Amino acid sequence: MANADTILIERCQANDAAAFNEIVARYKSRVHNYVARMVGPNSDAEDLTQEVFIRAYVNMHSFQSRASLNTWLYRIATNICIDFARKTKRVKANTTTLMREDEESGEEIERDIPDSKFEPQSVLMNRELGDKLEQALELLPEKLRTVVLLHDIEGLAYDEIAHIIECPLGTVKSRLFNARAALRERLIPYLDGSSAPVRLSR
Amino acid sequence: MNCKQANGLISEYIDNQLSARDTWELDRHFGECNPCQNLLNEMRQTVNIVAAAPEFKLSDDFASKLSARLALVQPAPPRNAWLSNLREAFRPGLRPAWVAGLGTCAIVAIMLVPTLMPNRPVDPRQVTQTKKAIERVVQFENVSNAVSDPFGDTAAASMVTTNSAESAANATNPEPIW
Repeated sequence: MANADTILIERCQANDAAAFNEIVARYKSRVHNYVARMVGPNSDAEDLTQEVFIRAYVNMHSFQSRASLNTWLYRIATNICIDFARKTKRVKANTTTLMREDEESGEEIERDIPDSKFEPQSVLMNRELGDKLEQALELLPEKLRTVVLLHDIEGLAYDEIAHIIECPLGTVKSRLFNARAALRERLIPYLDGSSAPVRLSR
Repeated sequence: MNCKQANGLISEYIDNQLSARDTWELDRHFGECNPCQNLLNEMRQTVNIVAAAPEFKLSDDFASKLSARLALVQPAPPRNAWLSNLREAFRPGLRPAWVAGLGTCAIVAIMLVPTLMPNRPVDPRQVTQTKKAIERVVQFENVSNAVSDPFGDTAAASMVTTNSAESAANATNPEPIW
C-alpha cells in the first residue's frame, strides 16, 4: 500500500492528473468519514473534504517521502477541521440566539423523526446506540475526539497520530485513555461489564 | 500492581501496546480483581462500539465537483529542500527531544570544560614574586610567634622559672590563710 502510494505521489509530482484522481478515489471515503465526525455530518463535511484534496494537490511538491500519504492527508484534514471549528464557534453563538427567538415565538418547528414502528428490536437498538455514540463523540473536546477518531475508527498507530497532531507519544496515549473513559461514561447504559466483550458488526 | 496503576494502563493494554512484563502483571491483576475486570470489559466494549461506527456516505457528484475545483488551481512550485528539512527538524513534536539533547550537552560541557582547559605556561617572574610573598608571610609569622610566645623571650623564661620555684616551695610549706 505504502509503496503504491509512493509511486502515485511521484506521478503526481510529475503532473500526472490521473494519479491524483487515483489518490482521491482511494482516500475520499476515509477522509470524509473523519471530517464528518470532526465537524458534524452535514454539507460542510463534503466541502471540507474537497478542501483537503485541493490543499494536498496544491502542496503536492512539499510532500515528504518519508511520511506516509495517509498520515499527510489526515494531518491536512485535522488542520482544516480545527480552522473550521474556530470560525464556526463565533457563528454558533449567534445562531443559538436566533433559535431561542423561534422557540419563544411559539412557532412549530418541523423535525424529521423516523418511524420505527416496524423495525426489528436489534436494528432499533443498534440505531439508538449509533445515535448515542455520535452524540458522545460530538460532546468530546476536540483534542480528545481527534485522537479517538484517528485511532479507533481510522486505525492509525500511536506514532502516526503523534505526527499528525504534533504532540509527544505520551500525550497521544493519555488523550486516548481520557477519550475512551469519557465515551464509556456516556455509553454505560449499553455496556455490560460482567460479560465478555462483544464485537459489533458494521 | 494495584487498581490505580492497572486502570492507568488499561487503554494501552487493550491496544496490546504494553511490555510483556506489564501485560503479565495486568493479566494477573484482572484475574484477581472483579471491579477492574468489569472496567476492562466496558472499555473494550466501548472501543468496539466506536470501531463499528457506520461510515458516512459521500454524495455521487463529489468527484465531479472536486474536479471542477481542481481545474481552477495549480500545484505550488517545489520549495527548497533544506527549508522543508529545517522545518521538519524543528517541528513541535520533536521539541522534547531537542530540550533533552541540549540539556545533556550542557551537563557534559559543565563536567568536561575544567578538565579540558589547557595548562598555561608559567611566568618565572610570577614564581619569584610568589616566593617573595611566601617568605614575607613566614617572616611575619616568626615575628608574631616571638611576640606572643613567652618561651621565646629569655627574660620572660627566667621569670617563669622563678615563679615556678616559689610555687613549689609554697606547696611543700603551706602557710595558713588566716
